[in-house]
Amino acid sequence: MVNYSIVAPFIVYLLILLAIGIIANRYLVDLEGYLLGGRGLGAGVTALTLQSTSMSGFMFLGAPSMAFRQGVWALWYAIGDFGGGLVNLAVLGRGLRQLSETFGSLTPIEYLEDRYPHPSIRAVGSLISIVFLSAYVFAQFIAAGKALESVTGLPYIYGLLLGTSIIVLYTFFGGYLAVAWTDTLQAIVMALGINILLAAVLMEVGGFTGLFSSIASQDPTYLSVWGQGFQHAGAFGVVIGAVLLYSIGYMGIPHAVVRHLSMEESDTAKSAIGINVFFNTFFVYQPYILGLAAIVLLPSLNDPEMAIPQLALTLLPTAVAGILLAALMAAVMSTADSILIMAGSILSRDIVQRFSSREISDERAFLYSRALVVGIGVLGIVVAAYQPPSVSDLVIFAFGALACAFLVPNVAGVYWTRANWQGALAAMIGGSGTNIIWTAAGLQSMTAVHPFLAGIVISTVGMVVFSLITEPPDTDVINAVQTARKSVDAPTGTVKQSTDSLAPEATAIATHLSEKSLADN
Amino acid sequence: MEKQSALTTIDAFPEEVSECKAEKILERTDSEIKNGQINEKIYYPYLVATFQVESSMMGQKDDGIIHCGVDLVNEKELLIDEQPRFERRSVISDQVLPRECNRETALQIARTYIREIVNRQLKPLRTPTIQCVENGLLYRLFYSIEVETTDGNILQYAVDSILGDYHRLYVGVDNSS
Repeated sequence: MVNYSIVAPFIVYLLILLAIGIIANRYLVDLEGYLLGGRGLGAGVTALTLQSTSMSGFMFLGAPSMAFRQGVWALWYAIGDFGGGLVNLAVLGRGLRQLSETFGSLTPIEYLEDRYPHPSIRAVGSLISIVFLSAYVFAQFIAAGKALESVTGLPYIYGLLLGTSIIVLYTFFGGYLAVAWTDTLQAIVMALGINILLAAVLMEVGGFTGLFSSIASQDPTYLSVWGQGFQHAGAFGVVIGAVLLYSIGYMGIPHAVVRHLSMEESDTAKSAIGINVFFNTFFVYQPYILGLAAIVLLPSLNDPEMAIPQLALTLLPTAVAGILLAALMAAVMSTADSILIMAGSILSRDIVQRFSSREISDERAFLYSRALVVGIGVLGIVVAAYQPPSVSDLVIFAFGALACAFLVPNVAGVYWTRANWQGALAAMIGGSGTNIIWTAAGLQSMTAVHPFLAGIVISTVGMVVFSLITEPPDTDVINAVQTARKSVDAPTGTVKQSTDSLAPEATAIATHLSEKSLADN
Repeated sequence: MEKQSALTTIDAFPEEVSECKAEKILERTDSEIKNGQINEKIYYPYLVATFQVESSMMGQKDDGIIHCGVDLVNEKELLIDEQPRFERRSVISDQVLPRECNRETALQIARTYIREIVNRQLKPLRTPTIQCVENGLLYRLFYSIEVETTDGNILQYAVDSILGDYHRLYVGVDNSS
């Protein structure tokens, strides 16, 4: 039965977002300003917009469900996540920046294509990106369905159909609605909501001490590092894979790598990174703690992914719970929308236009991107309705497969001069393929090896073997890698203020000056 | 005998940053940087196109003007905030970077880029109308500046004469692939 005291604030909140979107666009941004990407926005708005877009159903549904099912074992993933950014920066930061500067690459896929010059690199890289970004979107569909199920009391399948339809329509016709100002409000509401819920939960269970002693009295194995019921006892391959997934996996994720190419060079974006770090401190770990609390407070919970919605409905005033769930829905829409548009862009720019011999008309390009959104929507409904995987499983699978595809080519590109396009292709296909097969065939339970670990091993083997049995890279590539490696570091202040979007111009000017110097001599 | 330098006439963006100011820009970035010195001037080619965009969203029609530049060496696009101004001048031919992309290809690249941005940012209800109303070849002046660090290393940078932005130059690397 529909609980209107929750549905009403849920709808009111979404209507407020709609109103802010319309007002902001009518009075704050004109068409040119919108197309220029809202350059006048400050660091705070930019940071929170990014935050809202990157937050997905995983944080609200996936992370707490892992903690609910596995206990503190789930924190292996969180530990990796905590250090992932630093590892990424330490291993790839300087090398990748200097190499992309010498090549003049602006995006991760451009870097791969410049480092491993062959058309198959872009084609395969783009296809892998589209497939696994789609899997990420499927997770958002499931999350939307569950959010609507918890709010309206409708069966999951209706929630799924309604949620997916809303997301697809929002992606099609959202237009001015998806503005930075609404994303900013969402990020604030989500962070506040999750922390209010955490405070309520901790008061209910008697703080952290009360929480852990209650969990221990129910089943002490929830507090084991090997998982509830010692499920992963001695399975070092699984634990290592779980920690590595988020600690090194970011080196293969296009979004994370972009940061190290330092694409967003403005002072605003640099300040925004600081704000993101501050925001993460107040958001990233809370869902895991809430999942642990659900073991105590909701012991008979049927669907672990409903831990946060159910805790909110149980412990918070209904209006606050309604707003929190609306924020969840909005976050899911924002994430799914941006990934769908990104997938459409990859399809039209990196595949259709790149490999088409004819010029693509505006109408056709428009049609392709819309068709892709509908295609992913329909496929997503089929997957989510037929045999819905859990949000956490789906997100970990998609993240792992993307990381397995690109991590080794990215790292080898910087550190191993001999790495060539044949090796990179084998690493991409072998890494992501192994992750898929390992997950689909349930090989983790048979081998005690995490799919991510298996994927990375095969990807590395593929890179080494195929690079060594084929011709070395072109002299130009070897020269660029060696120059980047030998180059002395510029002073920190100079590096920080450098404008990275000038990389292509700088590369062309450097080549021109080198040729001129040779001719003069 | 000194070699005679040929001159060529180009349309260039007006400079906002003088040679003297450009040298100081790098010195101000870090206390370890000193002795900025210009050793070359390079005119970099762009196609600059102005597009009229008409789009409909939620039953509301909207239109606007947007300017796009295409780097004629690397075929990379960029959005330009304001209507570009230019001035005609004669410069030494050696200082002009040769174009590697023709005007028609560059115009198509610009159009595709605008189309992609319109679709991504506006998510219009119907196919937007994108019309190129003006286009021209313009050159942007970059200063190639050498600086010395306090520990004796020599680094080379390209400094943009419009905004004063800069980027390191890795001279000696052949990136012509």
